[in-house]
Amino acid sequence: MAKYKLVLLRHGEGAWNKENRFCSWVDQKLNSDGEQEARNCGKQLKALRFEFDLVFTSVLNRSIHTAWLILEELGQEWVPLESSWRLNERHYGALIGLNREKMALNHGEEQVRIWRRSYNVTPPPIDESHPYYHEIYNDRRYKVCDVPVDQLPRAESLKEVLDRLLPYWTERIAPELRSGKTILISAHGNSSRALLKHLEGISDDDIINITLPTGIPILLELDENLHAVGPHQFLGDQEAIQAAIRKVDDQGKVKKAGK
Amino acid sequence: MAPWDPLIPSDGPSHLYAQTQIILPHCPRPRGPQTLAQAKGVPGQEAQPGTYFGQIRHWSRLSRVILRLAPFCQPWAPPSRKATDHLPLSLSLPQAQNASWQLVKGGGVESEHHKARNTWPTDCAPLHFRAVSTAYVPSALPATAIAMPTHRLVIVRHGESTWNQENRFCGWFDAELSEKGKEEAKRGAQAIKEAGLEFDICYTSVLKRAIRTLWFILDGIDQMWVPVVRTWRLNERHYGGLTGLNKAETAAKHGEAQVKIWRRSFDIPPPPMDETHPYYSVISKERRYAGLKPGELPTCESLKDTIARALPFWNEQIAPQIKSGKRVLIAAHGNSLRGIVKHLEGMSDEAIMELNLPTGIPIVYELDDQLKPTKPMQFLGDEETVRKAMEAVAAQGKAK
Repeated sequence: MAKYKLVLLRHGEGAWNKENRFCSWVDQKLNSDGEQEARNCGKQLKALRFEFDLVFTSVLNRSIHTAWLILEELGQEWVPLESSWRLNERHYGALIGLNREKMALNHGEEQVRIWRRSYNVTPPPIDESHPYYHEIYNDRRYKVCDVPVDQLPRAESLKEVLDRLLPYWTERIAPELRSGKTILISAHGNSSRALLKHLEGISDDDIINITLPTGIPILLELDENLHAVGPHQFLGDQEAIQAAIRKVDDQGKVKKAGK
Repeated sequence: MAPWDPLIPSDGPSHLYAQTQIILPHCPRPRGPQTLAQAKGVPGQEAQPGTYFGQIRHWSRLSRVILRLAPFCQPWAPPSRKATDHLPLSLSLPQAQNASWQLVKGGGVESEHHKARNTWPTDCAPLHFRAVSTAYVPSALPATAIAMPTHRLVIVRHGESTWNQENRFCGWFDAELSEKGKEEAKRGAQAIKEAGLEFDICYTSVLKRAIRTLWFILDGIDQMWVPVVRTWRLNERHYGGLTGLNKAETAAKHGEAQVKIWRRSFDIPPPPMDETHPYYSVISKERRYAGLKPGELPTCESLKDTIARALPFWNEQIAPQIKSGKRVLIAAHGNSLRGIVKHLEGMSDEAIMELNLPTGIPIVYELDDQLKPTKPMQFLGDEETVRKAMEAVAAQGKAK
């Protein structure tokens, strides 16, 4: 019996999505397509008459900007919004900034797929020689987290994402849901997947097949124990949703000759 | 009066912050030191080209202290071109050269200058410059007599809304920012970015015109992740039964004087908004106010009422954050911000009515550890923008 409603979503496109690069903790902005995806998401939620009481985002500005655009479309800018690093995208370690296609050429599509979609394979960690290391760890937002900056991850598997996300879910988000609030979580591809895995009880093996499209709201209905009463539902036009899923999947593939 | 006489009339008000006047740069201002830090030549504090720090002056003991120290500052010398051409009359006089200059209230050569040319700034008290000779050596006051600023607060009034554009009483109606309002917010963001300011927590109302102004700023300064607290207590004044009415029509119907009273009196509320009001359901029944206790939801407010519900939030939430060292940004509305300014500066009811905070222009306060301002508020932005904004607000309410 569905008692609680949760909407989560993966933010829209940033410049690096288009360039097919692992963005992760680099603070890319949404591009104009990404902003439009966010607005469409908001319009969809408005048509379905969603009334949110609380919004959670990561500290990456593409997640926050997506939430802002959705709230604008809904006319719900006044809804309280909370940001936490624990909803950040998965940390891709030394792979940050590298192009997925080139990686697929160098390491094979299968290895790239494993890195992207497996449950407990951790990529190589980022170190100080990485071009984006200082841009990330010198940022003030990571100096005010609930862990010291030197204890923040340097690379993560999907399992490790869930390990740092779950305390936030349990201590901050779940109590709000239990108090009857309708919650929106504007997150990232992997942080959303990690959360869905936990709430829906998806196995370690099956999670590799789950793909979340960008900018499509995902509804999850939960029982009083905060377990999903059914599979997550994409809200919106089904054809558009399937096309969006295929687009994300294709990012890992090598382009065929002549395309 | 000899140049070394105290600039504050000795029969001036005895409480700390007596009166506020808005300074409009009707004449090009000399680019002399405009803050104590600039005068001392603190690196990084030099006035940037194109940046104008408009100041609200206060007749206060502290100002007197700072003014007395002014002669120790680098004397202002006019640029080598024939710079006196553009100066107001009082500053082109020989004795004004190589002297520090102070802004004083009332009278003076420049008053005559303005009167002759009919170039008075509207709604503002007369102002003029007077040169103080650098020959004056005051008895030195110990540095510890000056309260050093320990906290910085930035407040900003949202930009033009679509209803401001239509000159309608807006109040608690959740109007959108107009295109001009969005531009004002972006300019405000740019001014804060150029000043290099960082924030730890932001406060705003539950009305989208303030929230979106804050969003423009946070986006512009790349601090979108900073926590934001929204509260109805920072909302605009509730204009009750006048909400939605066009100001010009109301002025024509009730007379400019009555409109001015409703808008500008301290404790006379407008008529209340009741269930028959066309905007009742989108305001009073709105979900965002569902958590208010009985008796908290207003049906109309005077400025006194607005301040009475804003100040508890300042005292209980914002002030402790500032005192704990957090750098705070507040994006709100003309009247809720007036409440904060009145409280910070100990202004009288009459004085606050004369204060028009400009829209979209960040206002910086430096506060001591008792949260008293240590210097006049500073506007961030270019001179032209500041001046135009002040004139625009003063023109509202007059029948077209």
